[in-house]
Amino acid sequence: MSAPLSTPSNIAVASNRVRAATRRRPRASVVLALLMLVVTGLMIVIVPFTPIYSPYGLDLAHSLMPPFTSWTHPLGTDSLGRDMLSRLAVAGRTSILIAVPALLINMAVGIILGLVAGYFGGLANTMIMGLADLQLSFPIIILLVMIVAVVGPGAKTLVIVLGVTYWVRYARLARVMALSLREREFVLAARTFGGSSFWILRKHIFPQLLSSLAIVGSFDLGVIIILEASLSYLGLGIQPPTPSWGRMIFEGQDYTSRDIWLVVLPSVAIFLVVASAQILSQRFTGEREAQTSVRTV
Amino acid sequence: MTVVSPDEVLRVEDLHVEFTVRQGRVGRKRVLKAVSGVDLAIHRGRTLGLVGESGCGKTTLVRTICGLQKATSGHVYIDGQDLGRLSGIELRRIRPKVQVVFQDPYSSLNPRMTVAELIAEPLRINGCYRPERIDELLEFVGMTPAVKGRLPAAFSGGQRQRIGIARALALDPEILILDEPVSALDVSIQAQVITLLKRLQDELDLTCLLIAHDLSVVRYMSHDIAVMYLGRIVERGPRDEIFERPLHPYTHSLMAAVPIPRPEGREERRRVHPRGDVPDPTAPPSGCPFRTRCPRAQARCALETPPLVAQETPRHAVACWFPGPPGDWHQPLDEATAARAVEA
Amino acid sequence: MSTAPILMVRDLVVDFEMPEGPVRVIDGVSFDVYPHEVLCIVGESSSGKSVTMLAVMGLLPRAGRIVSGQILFKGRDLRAARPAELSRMRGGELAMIFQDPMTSLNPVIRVGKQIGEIIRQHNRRLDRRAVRARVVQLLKQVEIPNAEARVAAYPHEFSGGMRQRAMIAMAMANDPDLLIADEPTTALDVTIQAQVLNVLRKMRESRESALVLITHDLGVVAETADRVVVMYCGRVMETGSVEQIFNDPRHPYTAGLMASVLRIDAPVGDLHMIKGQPPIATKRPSGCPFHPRCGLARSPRCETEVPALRSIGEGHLAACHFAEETPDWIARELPQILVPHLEILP
Repeated sequence: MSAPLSTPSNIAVASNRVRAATRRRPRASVVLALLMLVVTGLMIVIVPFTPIYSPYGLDLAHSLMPPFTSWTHPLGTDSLGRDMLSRLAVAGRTSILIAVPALLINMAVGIILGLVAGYFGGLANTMIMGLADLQLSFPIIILLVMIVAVVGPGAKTLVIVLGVTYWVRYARLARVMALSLREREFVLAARTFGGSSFWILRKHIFPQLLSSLAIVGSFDLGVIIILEASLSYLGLGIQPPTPSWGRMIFEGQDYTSRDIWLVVLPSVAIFLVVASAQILSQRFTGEREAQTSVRTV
Repeated sequence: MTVVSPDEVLRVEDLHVEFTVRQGRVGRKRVLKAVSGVDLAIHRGRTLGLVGESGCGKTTLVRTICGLQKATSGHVYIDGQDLGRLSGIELRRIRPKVQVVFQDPYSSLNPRMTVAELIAEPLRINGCYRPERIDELLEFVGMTPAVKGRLPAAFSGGQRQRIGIARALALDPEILILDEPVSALDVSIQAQVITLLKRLQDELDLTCLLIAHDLSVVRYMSHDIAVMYLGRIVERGPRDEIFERPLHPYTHSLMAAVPIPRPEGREERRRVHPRGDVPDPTAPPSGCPFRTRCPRAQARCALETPPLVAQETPRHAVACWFPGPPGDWHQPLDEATAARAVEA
Repeated sequence: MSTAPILMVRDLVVDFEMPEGPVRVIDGVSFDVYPHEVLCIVGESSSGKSVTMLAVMGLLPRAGRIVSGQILFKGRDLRAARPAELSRMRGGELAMIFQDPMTSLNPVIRVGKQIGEIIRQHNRRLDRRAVRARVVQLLKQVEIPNAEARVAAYPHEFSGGMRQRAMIAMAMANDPDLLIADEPTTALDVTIQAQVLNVLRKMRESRESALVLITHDLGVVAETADRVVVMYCGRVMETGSVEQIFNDPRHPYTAGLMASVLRIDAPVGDLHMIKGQPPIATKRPSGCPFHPRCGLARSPRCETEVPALRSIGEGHLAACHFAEETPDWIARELPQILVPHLEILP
């Protein structure tokens, strides 16, 4: 009952690639996103090595200077005379150093649990998915606030706490992938060679996740940064004197009537990083769709 | 404890494999007897062709033989070892002995792995990887080692099937299972792959289990043939005997159903097919499973399931109360029998 | 046949759009279909057999384009027909059934309703009861047991063979003049295939429709065809009556296919193999598309000159420069074709 299958012939795949090919030219949004990332990246990396660097130096004589008015303080100073540009740079570094490990923890936990749940099914699946449902039914912010209130704020806490908020997404992805692939013939073949479950998960199932990980991961990076900023705004995140974008917004609130840049600058910084991450995530999605849609002739 | 002769590479004894299925999401649970009491043996160097259509249980049988499926009862002996008694580790160690060439050349090769990686996989898992072996195997199946670095997408169905064959031979298996190896290929390529398999069969003195849903494929390579229907073997014997003197009505219908590429005589050959459809495997007919479609069915067929017993010659066995050559097959069915046959 | 063909296809050329440029998938195909006859188009994958009929029906995928050629159905130019006209013809005079009935039947609409819709589209005068009666009658004709009850069933409640027969019922509902069946039994078991083909034959004969049956199975061709078109790589290699094609093949490809097909009525011997692989559409060989694999090919002619489909007998055409020499070549290289055959069943 199986005869020559309609092979995904070159013709069919290509006719979809025609539509994708016209999008191949770098989109304006992607260029923009990369630009934004580069700008922010440069700021974070280079500023600490410049002579104007002084995130902590109080200089009450020169407090509340507007941006673009002085060479020593290109982006102005805050209420305590500290250099805004330096503070933004340090804050950025901190944010990245917290968000990236948090993302990786989310991914690692999620992927492992998801693969186990999907591939082995049964009790493991029930327990893990139950845990996931439990987590999802809790409002994230409250959960985080509770944990931080108990454990006390700080960078390490933040990484761990953020690291366990979003694992469910990755678990779902990994689980679905494992479920759909575990009965595929090439997986069965691997079993007939004596391949252990670990081998199969590692060599056959996990690699298929990579493109989805790029999409979701880049999106989540933005989300985590915003979450961290929110927590810092509330005072539950990064503690002063270490600057953080969220806290800077909080500190600048009282000055919005006149010295609005105190709030605008950190907001723009957050926007640049998060928006570019999300745009790149979209780009990965588009590329994946073009690759995987195949119609047979 | 059954004593398995050292010559029997594969022996299946009274194998039953059952699944519980649920009809729909809230329906009752039903038992699906995919394999009901199958006995088989394959001796070293012989090829058994197992024929049956969808729903006959051959897929489940094959998976049980490979150790991918647990039997509900009965035994599978590979080289004398009872699969059911092996622990997980022991089972994995016995795997190299039973290798499979899969049906679908498009899904049995991981599309992201190169040819070299695909063939190397069984070797690596079993700790016997040698790069020369890959070249050897590719040449065995008529491909040049130069293609090692390419992905499956670069190859046609027939070539992919060759890669699958090379991979299955990598571990020097005791028994090679060919699961519909050519049904997904073009006609002109089928001949190439079958010829390759025959050559390998001779050169390597392979023991094979060949699964197919139609008789023409099985005929070219098998020494013995077994016919399955709804989880049971209904006829079994040496190839030539089965083809010259089929005794089970289902075997007759399988043979009659194969379209013959010769226009002459087609009016006479107007294939008589068994009426009705294959019964629901969760609710098989009482007695003989084929009786609802059989032109010879009588009262006895509903009451007792016929056992598989030798007829005429010791190696030719049939499970039928009224076995015999087709003879009256081409007579039109009388209305009463036809009516009974249709109410499946 | 002294009557005029019901379908005439002349020099059909179809391209598919690829990023590198257009790819020729059908490269000048011509054939005729006469009323009431069964024409089998046989070819392997990438021969273009399905695309040809999709082009005729106006059902090419978006990337496909008819570059040139004529398609005349009952004298009407199908290429010039407006989409509304074509829609009207489909399901009425011109019907098509496909390989996988699961994708052609709407899974959420009851079978009876789907068939009824087709009937009503072409017979607005019939009332509901009459339509239902016709649907039941059709289902009975295609040997669906318990037709009265099955009218209300959904497609997934039917087995594969039953679905395909329901498709036949749908296609034949309005007594089409031409039915096109694209590999209708390829996905089915052998005994179910026999049943479906039998039903198809009965239905067709009672309505006297012409049938174009697309298949890769030479056995099916021998058992059903009146005439045969053999396609390879987007071109017609040979066409003729079924006896001519099977007993006197003049194209080396046809002969090669005959000799390499697995059959149960010949002694088990060495199978013939056509060396090489069917080419992919983007790498079409120059000259005769079959020349790289042909045992009769001779340079330079076969590599440079595309053979025209020319007449070599009554109603027998072959696209080969050396068609006259093929019988000798067969006698030398492919004696299997000439071997007498076994009787399988008394």
